[in-house]
Amino acid sequence: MDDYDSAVTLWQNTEGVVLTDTDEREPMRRFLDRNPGLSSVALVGDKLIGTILCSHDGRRGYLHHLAVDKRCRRLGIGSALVQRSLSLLTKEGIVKCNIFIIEENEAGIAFWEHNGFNLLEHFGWMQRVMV
Amino acid sequence: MTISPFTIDVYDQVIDLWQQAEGVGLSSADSRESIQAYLERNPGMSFFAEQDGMLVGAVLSGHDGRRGYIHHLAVHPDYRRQGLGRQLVDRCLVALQEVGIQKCHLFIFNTNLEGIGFWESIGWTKRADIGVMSKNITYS
Repeated sequence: MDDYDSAVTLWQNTEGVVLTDTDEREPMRRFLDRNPGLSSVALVGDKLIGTILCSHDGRRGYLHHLAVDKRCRRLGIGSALVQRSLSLLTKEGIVKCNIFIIEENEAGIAFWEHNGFNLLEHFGWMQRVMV
Repeated sequence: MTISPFTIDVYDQVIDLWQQAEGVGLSSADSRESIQAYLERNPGMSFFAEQDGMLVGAVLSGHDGRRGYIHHLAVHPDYRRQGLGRQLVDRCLVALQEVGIQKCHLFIFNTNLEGIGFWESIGWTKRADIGVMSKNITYS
């Protein structure tokens, strides 16, 4: 949680990361408590330059808010964050990991494909907002 | 009809129901051990329905601390169109809200038009703007 303020600044400057109520301080604390040790940051010195949120519901893993500072891209930091997360999920007994992505985000889709993810063609998803 | 929290005691009966339910795709995540782990991570959030001494409906729900997820809603064909599916889902949504979850997701086959129609009729929206990417992470 010490990294929270720096992470929000990074997310605000990252295209493709959409911030919602769930990204406020208290919900984020609950999220990290629910998934201890699964989310990661990348640091250069003491400066935060990358994040990934990693979680599961006991059945499927989910990754959110993968972000790398623009000045530090194309160095494999994003892939390293993803690989670390997947490895942690397998230790929790999770065998499949999903991410949600805006269909128009071609660069993002290419990145995830490079990391072994496939866009699901036959499945869609539905959402219910409770409040 | 009674709705009760899903415990591992009813696992065999629920698997029978799921195997007969079109639209429910069973995988390794449905083994007894996996379901037990799932129920332990999400206590009191999954339910089954009983009527005439028979298990006639079931649903799994849980969350990752950010979003709720519903899986494997099934109602026996002879007991449909009585609001049972909706009641099972409502129980899940109440349990999720009690732990601070505000949005719930589910995955559905794009060809399952009957299913999509059901979910839309109880307030769910299909999201076409955002896709799902998936990776199998079994390294064994």
